[in-house]
Amino acid sequence: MTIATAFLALLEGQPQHGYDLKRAYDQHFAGDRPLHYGQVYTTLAKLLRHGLVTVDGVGGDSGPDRKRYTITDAGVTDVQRWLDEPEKPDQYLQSDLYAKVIGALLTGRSAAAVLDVQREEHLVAMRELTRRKQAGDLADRIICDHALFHLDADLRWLEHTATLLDDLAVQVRR
Amino acid sequence: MAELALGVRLAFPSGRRGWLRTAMATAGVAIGAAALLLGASVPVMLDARQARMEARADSVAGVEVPPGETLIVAGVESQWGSNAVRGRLIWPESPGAPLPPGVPAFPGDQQMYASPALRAALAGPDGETLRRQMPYEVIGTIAPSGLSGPHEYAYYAGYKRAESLVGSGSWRVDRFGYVLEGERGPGTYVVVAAMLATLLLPVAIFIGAALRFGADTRDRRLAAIRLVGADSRAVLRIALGESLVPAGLGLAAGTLLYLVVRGRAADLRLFDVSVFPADIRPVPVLALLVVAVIVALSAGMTLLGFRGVAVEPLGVFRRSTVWNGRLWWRLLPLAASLWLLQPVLAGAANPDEDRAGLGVVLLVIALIPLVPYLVPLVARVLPGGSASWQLASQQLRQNPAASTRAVTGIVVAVTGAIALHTFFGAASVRRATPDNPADPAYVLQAPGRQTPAAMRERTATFEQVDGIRAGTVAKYILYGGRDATGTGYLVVGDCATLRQIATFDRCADGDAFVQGDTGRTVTTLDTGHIEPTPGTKVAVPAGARPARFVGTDAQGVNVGLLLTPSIVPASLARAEPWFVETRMYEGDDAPGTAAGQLRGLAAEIDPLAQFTAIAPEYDKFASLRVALNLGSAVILLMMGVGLLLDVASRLHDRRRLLGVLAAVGARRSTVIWSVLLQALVPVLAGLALAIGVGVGLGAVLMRMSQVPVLFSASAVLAPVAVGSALVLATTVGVLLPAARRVTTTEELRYE
Amino acid sequence: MTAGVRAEGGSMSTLLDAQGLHKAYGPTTALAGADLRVRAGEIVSVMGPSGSGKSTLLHCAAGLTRPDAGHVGYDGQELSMLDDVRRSALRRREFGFVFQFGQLVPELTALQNVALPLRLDGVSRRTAERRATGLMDRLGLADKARSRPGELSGGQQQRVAVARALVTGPRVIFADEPTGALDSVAGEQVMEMLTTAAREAGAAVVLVTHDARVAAYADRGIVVRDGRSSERMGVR
Repeated sequence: MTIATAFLALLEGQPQHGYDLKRAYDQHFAGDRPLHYGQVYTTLAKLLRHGLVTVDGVGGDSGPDRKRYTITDAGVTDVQRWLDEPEKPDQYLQSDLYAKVIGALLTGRSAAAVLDVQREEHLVAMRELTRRKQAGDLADRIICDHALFHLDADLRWLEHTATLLDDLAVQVRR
Repeated sequence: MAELALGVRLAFPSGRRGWLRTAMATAGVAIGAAALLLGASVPVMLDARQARMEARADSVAGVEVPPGETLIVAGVESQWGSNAVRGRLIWPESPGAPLPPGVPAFPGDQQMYASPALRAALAGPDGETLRRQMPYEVIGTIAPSGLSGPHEYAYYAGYKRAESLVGSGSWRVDRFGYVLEGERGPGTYVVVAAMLATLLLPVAIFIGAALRFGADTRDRRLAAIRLVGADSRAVLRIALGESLVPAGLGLAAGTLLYLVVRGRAADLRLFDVSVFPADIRPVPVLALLVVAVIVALSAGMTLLGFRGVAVEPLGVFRRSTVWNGRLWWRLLPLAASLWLLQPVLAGAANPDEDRAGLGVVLLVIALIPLVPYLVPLVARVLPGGSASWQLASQQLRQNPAASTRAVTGIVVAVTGAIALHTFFGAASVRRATPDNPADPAYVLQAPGRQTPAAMRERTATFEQVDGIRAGTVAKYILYGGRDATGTGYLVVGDCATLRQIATFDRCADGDAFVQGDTGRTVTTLDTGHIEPTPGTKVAVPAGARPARFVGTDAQGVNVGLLLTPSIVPASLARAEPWFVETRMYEGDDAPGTAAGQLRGLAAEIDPLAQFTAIAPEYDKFASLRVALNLGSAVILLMMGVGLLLDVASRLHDRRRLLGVLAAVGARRSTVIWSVLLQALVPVLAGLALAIGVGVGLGAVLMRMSQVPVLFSASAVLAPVAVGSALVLATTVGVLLPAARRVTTTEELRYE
Repeated sequence: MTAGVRAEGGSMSTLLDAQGLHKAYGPTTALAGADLRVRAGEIVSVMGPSGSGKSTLLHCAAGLTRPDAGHVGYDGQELSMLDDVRRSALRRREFGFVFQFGQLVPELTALQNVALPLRLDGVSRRTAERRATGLMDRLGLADKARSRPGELSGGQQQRVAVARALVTGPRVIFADEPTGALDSVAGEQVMEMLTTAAREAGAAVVLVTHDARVAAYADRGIVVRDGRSSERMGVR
């Protein structure tokens, strides 16, 4: 998802000023990385150019941001196309974790130790996320859960791999 | 205490199943408690009855009471249907004569006080026939204090003629309350013992089984409580508290049941014994004992249930999962009972009744450990083959105790029912025919001299009754010396009548017959004296031909002289015979009321004449049989419900397995058959055992009561049929739908 | 982390200390030298694949199972030296339990279930039920007090079980797969409630689970594999 698509989705709900757009984006989509104002206006400029939004009025108030942006029909179509298109599942075939395990095995070091260290690291991360989740609202919970489920999947892979390490070592060294 | 209370709380379950369980256990305890309370009341009941009977006893036992403030009494013991009639003809010799208990005043001549039951019978259907036995004007009712029970038929009649009969039919008493000698029929005690064992044991088994229904669920629950911090003794206390609820409720319901039975007690009769409700009250110590026994039984059953089971916080552990079926200790009670019964089985003349009774009870008890052994044995022996039987037999072999828990009670009940039914059947066969086929059904022995014509008239009188053939003779007893009596008879009668008494070649009036060595003359025994006194001397006619007495008369009589009327010498015709005997034979077409009519006729001839029914007129065991049928019906019904609960709960426990079987493609019929076989095989094996032991027990009872050993198929098979019908109805009616439900794979979703 | 505790002040802050536990069920070895240390008020997760022995470790640590070898010290006492009465008293007063299922008494209402440990400890019915009601109110279970377990959902049953585990003010709560039979939302509610309430009450929690997302509610975790706990893994 690009910032442009996110803006279109936000604007489909209601026309907004650039400043409100940034705030809404930060709330729903930014995660840990809020937008710079620069990014807001370059993105809006791009959308204007493609005819996906229009500036429909300039407010009478003074201030840095008096333009209000409205989505066009083309913009709505764009949002629809975005939602219709399934995300390509990540293949996870290039994994640093996997590389480290193979590296340990190739060099005759303990792959189990690599896994143990990683497990502890994952668990620490998960505990941190759980604390955040307990402190936050529902939206926070959902995004934390997303991360937790992924870490959980990693952990399960770690456990699974740990039980297969001996066989794997034989194969790698052959 | 808190734990007991918690246990009590836990016994009030949620859900239909739990309620049913508590209700069944309560019902079992209630019936048991009522039976025990009644048992505890028997001593009081019998004591009260005995006390009243002693208070009115007038048997002077051969002692002559001199005249004075005395009452003249003559006894008329009679019978009406199944009821003995106690009649007393009385006449006071002075105003200060003793008044019989329960009678307000002396009745005038030909007036009587009658018991309420007798009055009711006189007013009832066929009362006119009864009335002929006691043709006195009823002027009042005998109070309960003068009666043995509410259903006793009794009367006191004023009878002035009794004055002239003192010494030959009546006697003097100066008081009431002579020593009463008790009597009890042989074998009766053993029959009652067998009956109690048959009826009470299943109740005990049922209580035990009922208290253990759902024991598995309870154990899981206790494990959960253990986790929360109850130690093993607290858990035991909780379980005890839980078992107290059916015990307590059952005691309350049992007391209620007891009071209901007590209220209806006036309607009940066993062995001619009826009791006043007021006399039924438990001996206080025994009543307390009943409560203690019930509580102890339920507690004991609970503790027994924990044998080999460890309830731990993490769950329930059974110490021996593999069932260890040793035979020898299971045979111990059987061996002990056979040892106790050995004299009876060997045909000893006078077996010890207490010992035999114990043996009978033990024989029934011996079944209890045998059933769980038998079932896996049968499961092993029966050829395998079908998948359903394989499933069923494995289950039966692995947990026979659970499979037979509910069956044992049925086996015990059916065994007892078979034994008692065969016994009652054999006893009633004896009743229908006299011991000796040559004997008459009834005999009237009246004092006084009768002409041959009068004797013929008396015969004709009795032959008025349909189906009755009669014959009247004059009987003299031969004087055999000062020390011997009853060794010989002199009988006077016409040819037709003599033929009923003895066998001989031919007969015409004027003939005489002899049996044994009479010598040239015989001497009769004079009737007027208590000491043997020689009476009339009679020459044995020269042409007398040999004859032989038949029937009971042949026993103990070694000499006899039979005379037809025209050869009777004048001296003998003037002498008074010992008695004039009318013998009555009952044909198959005789009506049921024949006995009553004959008694009425006899009473009209002479109320003091001795009327004897050689063959009992009624079934002495009829009331017992009714009690048995009623009792075994109730018990089998309870057992049926018990079996149902048991099977249903086992089905419930195994529904996952059955569901899996169905899911992997076992045909539904296979699964259902395996469930059915699991229920049916133990019952059938148990019933086979019941037939064997029941027949043996029946034989023991017959021997005890000197009844010829005889078995009728219906007496053996009826209880078996009822038992198996019950099981079939239970399994097919309820189990099948349940099994059907369980075998739908739907069930798996909830697992 | 554990090493740090030992260095800091030995067993003073360690409430429960299980060391070198061995346990075999017939030919199956469940524990082959496992350790578990729990400090007052902390939440420790015990993770491991199924059959790793983590439940046995919990059972031994709680005195429910006697280990074949090893020591379990609780508050200065050796658990394996205590008799059944003493251990039962400990379970009543000092420990609380939340298992996967089957721990509530179906015949009793939720309130009576929660009051049960107090009742077993001799507290009068009124007092016990008043305290149980208070706790259930705080835990948001007030409307379920009169229901029997059979009428509650799995999650509600587990929350009642948590309330029961907390009612005596225990110092350690042993939770064995408390969310094992629940869907993830209900499971999270139970975990949320368990950890929050335990922290408020200052109770330590031993949380046995195979689920990392459940284990993430703990302050720290150990892993059991093949009957050995993570503290010992390095020694191998």
